[in-house]
Amino acid sequence: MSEQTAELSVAGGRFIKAFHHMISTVKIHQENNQLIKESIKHFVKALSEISGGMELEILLWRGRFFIQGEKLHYRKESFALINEMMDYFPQRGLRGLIFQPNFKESSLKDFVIFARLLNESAGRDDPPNWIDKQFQTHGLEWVEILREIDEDPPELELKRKEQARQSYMHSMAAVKEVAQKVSQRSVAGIRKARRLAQTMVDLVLDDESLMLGLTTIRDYDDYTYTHSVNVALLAMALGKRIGLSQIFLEQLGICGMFHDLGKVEVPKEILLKPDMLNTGEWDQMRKHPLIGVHRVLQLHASREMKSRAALGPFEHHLNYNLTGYPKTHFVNKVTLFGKILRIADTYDALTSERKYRPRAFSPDEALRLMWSKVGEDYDPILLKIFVNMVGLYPVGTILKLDTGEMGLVVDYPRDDERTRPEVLLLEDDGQGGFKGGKTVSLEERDEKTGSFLRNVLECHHPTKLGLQPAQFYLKEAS
Amino acid sequence: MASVEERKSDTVKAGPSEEQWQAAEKVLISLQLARKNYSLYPENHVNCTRAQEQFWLHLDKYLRLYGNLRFDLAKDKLLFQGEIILSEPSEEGNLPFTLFRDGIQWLELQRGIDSKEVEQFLRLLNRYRILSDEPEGDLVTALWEARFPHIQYYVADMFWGAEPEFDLTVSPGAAEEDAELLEEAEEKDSKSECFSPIEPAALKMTPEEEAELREMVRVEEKRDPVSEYLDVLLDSLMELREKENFVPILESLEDVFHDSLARKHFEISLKILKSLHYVRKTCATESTWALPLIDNFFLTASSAKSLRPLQTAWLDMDTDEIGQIKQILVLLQPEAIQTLGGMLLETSSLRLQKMLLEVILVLAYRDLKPLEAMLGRPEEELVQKLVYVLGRLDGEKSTQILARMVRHPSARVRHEALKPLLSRGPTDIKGLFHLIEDKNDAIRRLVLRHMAQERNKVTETLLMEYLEQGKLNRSDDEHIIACFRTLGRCGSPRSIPFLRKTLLGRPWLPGFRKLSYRQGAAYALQSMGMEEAQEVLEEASRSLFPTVRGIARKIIEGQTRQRKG
Ligand SMILES: [Fe+2]
Ligand SMILES: [Fe+2]
Repeated sequence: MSEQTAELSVAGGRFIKAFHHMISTVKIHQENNQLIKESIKHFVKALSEISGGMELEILLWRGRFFIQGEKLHYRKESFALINEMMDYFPQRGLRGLIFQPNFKESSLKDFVIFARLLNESAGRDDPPNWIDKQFQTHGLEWVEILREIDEDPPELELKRKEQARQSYMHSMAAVKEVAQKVSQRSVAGIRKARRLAQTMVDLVLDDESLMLGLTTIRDYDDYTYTHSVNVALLAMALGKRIGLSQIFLEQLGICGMFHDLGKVEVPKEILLKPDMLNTGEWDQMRKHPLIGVHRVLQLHASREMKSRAALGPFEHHLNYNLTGYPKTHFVNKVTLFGKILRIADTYDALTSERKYRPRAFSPDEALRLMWSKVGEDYDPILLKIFVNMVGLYPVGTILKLDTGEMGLVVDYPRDDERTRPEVLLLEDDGQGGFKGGKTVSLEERDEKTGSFLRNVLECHHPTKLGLQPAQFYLKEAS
Repeated sequence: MASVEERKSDTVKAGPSEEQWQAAEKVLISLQLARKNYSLYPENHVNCTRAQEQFWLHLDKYLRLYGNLRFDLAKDKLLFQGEIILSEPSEEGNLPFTLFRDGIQWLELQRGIDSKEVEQFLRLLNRYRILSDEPEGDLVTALWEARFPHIQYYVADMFWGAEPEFDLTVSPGAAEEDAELLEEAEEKDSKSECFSPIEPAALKMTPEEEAELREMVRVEEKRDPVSEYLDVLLDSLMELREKENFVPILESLEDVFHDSLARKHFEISLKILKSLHYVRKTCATESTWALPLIDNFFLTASSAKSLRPLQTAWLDMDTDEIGQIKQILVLLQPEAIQTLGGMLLETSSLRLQKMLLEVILVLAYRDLKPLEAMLGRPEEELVQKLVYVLGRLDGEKSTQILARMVRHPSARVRHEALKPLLSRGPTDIKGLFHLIEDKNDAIRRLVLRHMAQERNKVTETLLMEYLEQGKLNRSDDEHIIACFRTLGRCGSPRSIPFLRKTLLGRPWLPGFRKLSYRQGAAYALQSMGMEEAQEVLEEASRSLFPTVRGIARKIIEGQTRQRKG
């Protein structure tokens, strides 16, 4: 997250908290109560701080708050409160609120009215309409409501998607270019790769879910390159989760992008062989980490850069307990980068379709398979965080729901607990395929019974339905 | 963030006043001047510092008066508030082009910027003024990493060409490399058995794990990546035994080695050498082609260019570090002696000299040739020190070289060579005999003292012939007497007739000798401590010649006094 976004998030968190406090206090106490006065003062202060004299837009979209178009990142501690506010808006048919800068001229009493009206609107027939009228009646001209009808994501969100998509494509191209250059033994610089890694770091920090969604991209001819970018993204996202600084995330990204550089030397017949490999072919295959190290040495880069980047190829098939390959003599522990790449690499490889395998593993199957090797192949702490990151049903999983609907996991509303995702419902396109429908959250409950509206019955790998999940993400952007 | 997203600038939008325009121009002129100085002088040169201060003063003044200063970019010009403020051809090295080349669309210097930030910024501008063909990074990657709080910029994404073609249709991928995991998975798959689900509770982090994770991250961000890099390189040497791959890895190791010496990371240097010795051993049977390659590594590591950084590094070293250096140096090739010898002369520190001598000793023990080759060098002090080392090396070869060195023009060298030669087993005294006439007192004394140590026929004959046949080139009394005294100690009754003749001989007869001869002969007889010798002395004390009598009586009186006393 950039500094500015981070600041906005902190201020945004304070604002939502003050908002929540104000409406709760007003619910319980009388108008002239000191507590009410205090809570309103707080709210006005937070509002002034975050609006900075301009118009302020707060918006709820797909289970996320956006302030001035930026997705609000929040801490675990404030989750309960944010969650309550996430219910508060839809209960009133509201998508958001816009505060005009002239709110400063309003009296304390106006704010009490504002809060009471919002509170009371929940039980009305058409809450937004009611609120609109009430605001007019009471002359609250400094605040407007946004209704829950338009599905258009905020502009920045769209822009970010487009940027993410482009970064992905260009990263792939950059990896390919470097790989081809080194395999022809010509000089290869890594300026582009670094530029892209930096952009991807920014994107991962700003919108992890979006970037994780991109990792479902596969390409047949360029499997190694899409895989490399996927591994970079997954590794950077995991790195972000454990609090690595941006410069280290960039390096981790570079390690990911170049981790399979040695595969360029493995003959295509082996790489693309539809059957299981024989021993000789495996030996060839197992050389790719070391060849990768050699190719990294060939890069036109500083010693510092190479000394990090060489870890990617070398360590990504080394297990947590140092089994795996290549055989080690001097290396006596796997670095943090290596442990991260091991997880990211296996996960992406497992969830890729293979020629000789009837199907790829669904993301959740892949996670379970990996979990069966925790502590042996994978660092237990990192794997825990990884599973929490991609979610029990990782982005890109196809879910069969108990409503009979099929859906594609696109996001999780919360950062800390990822058990009930947001799902893009898939509809019959009339040609034997699917098209994207509306997006729902599996956290949605029946208002009367309180039970969840939709539950997961089964999960599948997207290719089982002939789907390329990324198609759906990227469609949203265009 | 500012680098990837458009942001609103708080720069005033109305056209600038005449004063504001001029102030912006001044900033730009001083920036250009600073850039020029940075390109001509080292970064910490006073010209750079001055130019940087000037730039900052103008900038600071502008920012205080008018707020943030923003320039928009075209490939050959800078725009200030929509108007061209600087025009330069779109050539490498020019300011607009440098910024534009890397995709920067606008650059804004903001209030609050301090001189430190300005300095860093100028350094980056200079570093990326001109890009090589296949660069590792550019101004934008550098700015991204620097994260200047008061320098904002906007970069056009993907400025390097059209978006690549990309097929998003479903397609199977390449072969998987994780055989084991897959085999297991497939097995379970075919039995339609599922891996057990992950319990959400199992995914909760314990406080201990949280702490462990924080530590892991802390260690990762602090560690010097070179150590792991080194292990990776070494393992590559062990596992990928192909000549084509060996060479670049050794080159990388060479690079790490030089860097470790320069940065005083001696544990790294030491590890490289030790490990390569080990790798070499493993190559001895099957990969013999690798041996000359590894030897060549050691040779390069032993070169002057490689070891030169030590000379600045060890100026402020403690004993432990010096110990480490010693460990490193003794692992080098004996050829390193040539470099170490030079260093020996250039250091005034005694403990460093001592360390270097010890290292040279170890290296010369493995092969004497490099040391031998240096003995012809003109520096007397160096040759002396090397001869000192040679003296501590046993063996026929070193003895031969020492024997040669006793003819060195420098007395210090001769002396240094002589000492060990004399103390070594049976000495070839004939070869050293000429030294009794050496110009240097100490050398003469040393040889004579050595000959005086025991009765020895060879020595006796040499001395007798020397004195009798008048082969002396030196004729000072002191020398003559010293030679006779020595003869007295190493000689046998065989010498007595000669001594008798010398002491009692008539001056007019042939073989007349100076007084010092008579005196010397008397001392020699006295030193012999033999009855026959004493008889000659008695005879002399009764001589008709007062001089002879005088000499003998004086000695006998001395003997009597000694007995009584
Ligand atoms: Fe691999
Ligand atoms: Fe891989």
